[in-house]
Amino acid sequence: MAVSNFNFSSLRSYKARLGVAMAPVEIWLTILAIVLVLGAVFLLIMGLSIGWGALAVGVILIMPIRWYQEDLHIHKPTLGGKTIDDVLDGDILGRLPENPSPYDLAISLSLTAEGVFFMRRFGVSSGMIRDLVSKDSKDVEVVFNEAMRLRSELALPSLTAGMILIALLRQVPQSRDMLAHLQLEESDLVAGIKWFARLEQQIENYKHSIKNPGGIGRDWSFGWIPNLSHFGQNISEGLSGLEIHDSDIQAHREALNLIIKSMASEAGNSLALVGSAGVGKTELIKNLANIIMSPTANIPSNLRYHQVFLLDAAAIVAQAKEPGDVELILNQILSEAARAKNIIVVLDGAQVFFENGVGSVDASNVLLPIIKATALPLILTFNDQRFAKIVERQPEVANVLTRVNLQPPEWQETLLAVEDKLVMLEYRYKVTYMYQAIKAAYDLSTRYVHEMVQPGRTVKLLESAASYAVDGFVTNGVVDETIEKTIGVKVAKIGADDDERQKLVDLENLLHARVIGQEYAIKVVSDALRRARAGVRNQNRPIGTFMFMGPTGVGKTELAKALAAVYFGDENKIVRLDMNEFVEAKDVARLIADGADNPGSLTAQVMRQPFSVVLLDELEKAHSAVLQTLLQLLDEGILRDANNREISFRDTIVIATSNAAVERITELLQRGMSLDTLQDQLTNELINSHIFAPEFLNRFDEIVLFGSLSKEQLLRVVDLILASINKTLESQKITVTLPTEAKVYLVDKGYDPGLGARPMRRIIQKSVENIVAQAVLANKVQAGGELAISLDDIKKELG
Amino acid sequence: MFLVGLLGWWYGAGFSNRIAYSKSQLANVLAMFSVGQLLRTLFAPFRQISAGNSNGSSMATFFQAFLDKTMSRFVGAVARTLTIIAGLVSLLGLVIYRVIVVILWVLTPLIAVGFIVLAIIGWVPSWQ
Repeated sequence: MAVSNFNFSSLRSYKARLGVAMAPVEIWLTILAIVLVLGAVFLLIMGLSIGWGALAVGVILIMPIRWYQEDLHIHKPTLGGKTIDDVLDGDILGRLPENPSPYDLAISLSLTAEGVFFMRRFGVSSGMIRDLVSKDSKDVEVVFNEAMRLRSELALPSLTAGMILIALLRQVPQSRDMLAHLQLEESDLVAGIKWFARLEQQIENYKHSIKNPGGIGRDWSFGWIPNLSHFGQNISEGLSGLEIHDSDIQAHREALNLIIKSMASEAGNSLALVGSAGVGKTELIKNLANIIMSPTANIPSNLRYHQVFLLDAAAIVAQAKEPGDVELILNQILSEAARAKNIIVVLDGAQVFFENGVGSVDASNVLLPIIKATALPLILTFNDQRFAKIVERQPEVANVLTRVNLQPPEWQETLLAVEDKLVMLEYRYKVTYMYQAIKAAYDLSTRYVHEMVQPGRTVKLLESAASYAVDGFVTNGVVDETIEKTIGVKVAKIGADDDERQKLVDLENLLHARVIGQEYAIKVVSDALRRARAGVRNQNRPIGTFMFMGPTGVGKTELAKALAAVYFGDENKIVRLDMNEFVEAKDVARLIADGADNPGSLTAQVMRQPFSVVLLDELEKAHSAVLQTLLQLLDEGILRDANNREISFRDTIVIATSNAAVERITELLQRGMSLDTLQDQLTNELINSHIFAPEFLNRFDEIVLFGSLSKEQLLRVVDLILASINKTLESQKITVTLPTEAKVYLVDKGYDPGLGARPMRRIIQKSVENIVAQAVLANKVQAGGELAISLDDIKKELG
Repeated sequence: MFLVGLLGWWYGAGFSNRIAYSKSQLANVLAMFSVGQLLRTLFAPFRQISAGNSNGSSMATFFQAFLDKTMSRFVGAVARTLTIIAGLVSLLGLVIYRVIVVILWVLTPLIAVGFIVLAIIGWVPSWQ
């Protein structure tokens, strides 16, 4: 049965088939036509009239060749077309039989440019679904209807391979699993359709762009600018054909309109373009230069063909040798630009001209009069934080400049900006970026790249990833590897590494190798970690947040260290803060200070080492304002630093320790209550006694109670300490052994009800190490030997 | 269907393409020589080399600036006039070329038929 709105016999269907048939022979027909024409001329010169025949055939051949090149090859959809054959991509249409089935559609997809695009960028090929779709032509109508609906939603003129692909996938029950395996959703494929359409549009725009806008006499009546040419970069001349400067970011479009409007007006035509690094300030300037150079752009005539010069403020400051040089250079350049009458000057990183310090010179006495005179269109780009400080110090700067803020875009717009950038990156690095890599780069850079904002950080990460490309492809795995190698963050999912899987399964045993007792605490923590690495945790929170409560010296800190060693692979991957140093409200500033001012601040340390255990010791001593600041950390896994940067704690394990209610815990445990039943009661008591606010305690995944250690457990602690001493002596190949009665003696001597097992390590180290030192000096033990220390030796040593 | 399709396109969209392409080429030549712009600024100083401010200077400096500016205007007028002439000549050449192309396009099927007739009657041009 034929599909109701598909006409196999229509002129467009016929032309599409003809186009497909001619594609492989077009080049041969062209060669034949040329040979015939040249041959004909030769024959005619030789006086042979058959030459006219050859010429006639050559001329006749030219007609279908031109038809193919200008019409059949392009397959434009019929304007206002309603039927499938009116709008279906010609490469597909030309390959369909009279009664096509979904199987025929799947086969034709792989032969289209968009089909290849989906295969390379998304890893989705028609081969995946070819054998899963129906071969019955009756089933094709549903596919066409789905695809037409998608076309209407996307408001695109053609029914493309991407739309057919999605429509086919919707008919395959296994498609959800297939896409999940590729880490894709249907919305990603829709984004792919838009990406391909944009690429096609950009190629068309490039083909029709005017290579020398304004002509050769364009700048003859404007001024000569030798100094400006020396110090500045003419962006209008440097616009590369490969770079796309046609922003689709809403914030950029609005900012551009504002800039153009402000520049065209007589009053106050200087602007401050304010935004964080990576937000796209330079890109916006290039967009502006592009628009101004376009003969067809809708811009005021007094701006058309103005040239945009980028002055690197830092470079000018660096060139100044004597005091006053910066002012002199600026004066020369800007006066020249003003006289030339066709220049827009952009001072990039202008904050260095409004501050005094290393690498900056306050040249506001030169700049402000020029800005006020409005003779020269000036754009000054500022870092947002530093602009705020400048305005605070010199309010006049804000008064004379029209401020244009650039906010970082969200995912959808970042994707558009990145897609545009990839054209250049792929050309430069000879790689192909997969869509999944862009998604991964966006997520990972949002979390781990702090020195800039979107879309710059995604682009930066993707650019770095080019060096790790596998077979010319940058995949999400490559992006993971890049972030792991550049930042040291482990992001790969569990499964690839069997050792790690085994480690997680055995986590309790591994932690018990370092922490004696505390089964309940270790179980709670191990469960949280397994949830995290298996990917079932909430990704927008830290891996785990625990409040460790219990007496001193029972293993709270030791468990935190053990976690760092077992989970993060290094005992030193621990960010430790003594919260008794944060007892005033003003200490919040120290907690979130910029790394340049205070490298020991919590945010600075986690920025450097995002994959670590954050240990907040004695939390109950911190000021309530500090606790309030930590709420966001516990809740959303982020903390804003002094520069308003979002620092991710989502790959940390946050452990707060508290000695509050120690007596109460000891008392309740002595009454025979178990640790797990004690938790609720203790939480209520902590809230009632106003040590912690309920909303704060509720943010922790678990309140983990640590009990006192029994004598047997303390003996095992002695064994652990002895093992660590033996490890130290390993280099001298000496092993120390202790009899049980000596260990019991050390426990009695070292255990303090107030300090737990903490003094024990000091006593054991002191006594055992002293005995070993004396034995080595007295030649009582040789390398490779064993030193058996008796109870008497210990007693003698400890007096 | 092939012949109908081919001739339909040749005298329809194909012909329109020739006209559109001719227009675009003419516009490109006009833009390249920026004839309109050059006419509007025919006597403007060339590159404003001497566009410095002479206000408040001595009489000698003022006259020097005036002389420089006049010289610059003269150089500009000559350069622009020559460019305009070159542009107009190019434009004329292009118009003639594009008219021939469009006529040949329209006549192509007839030309092919004409060649066949010539082949049949056996006429060849004499080169002596």
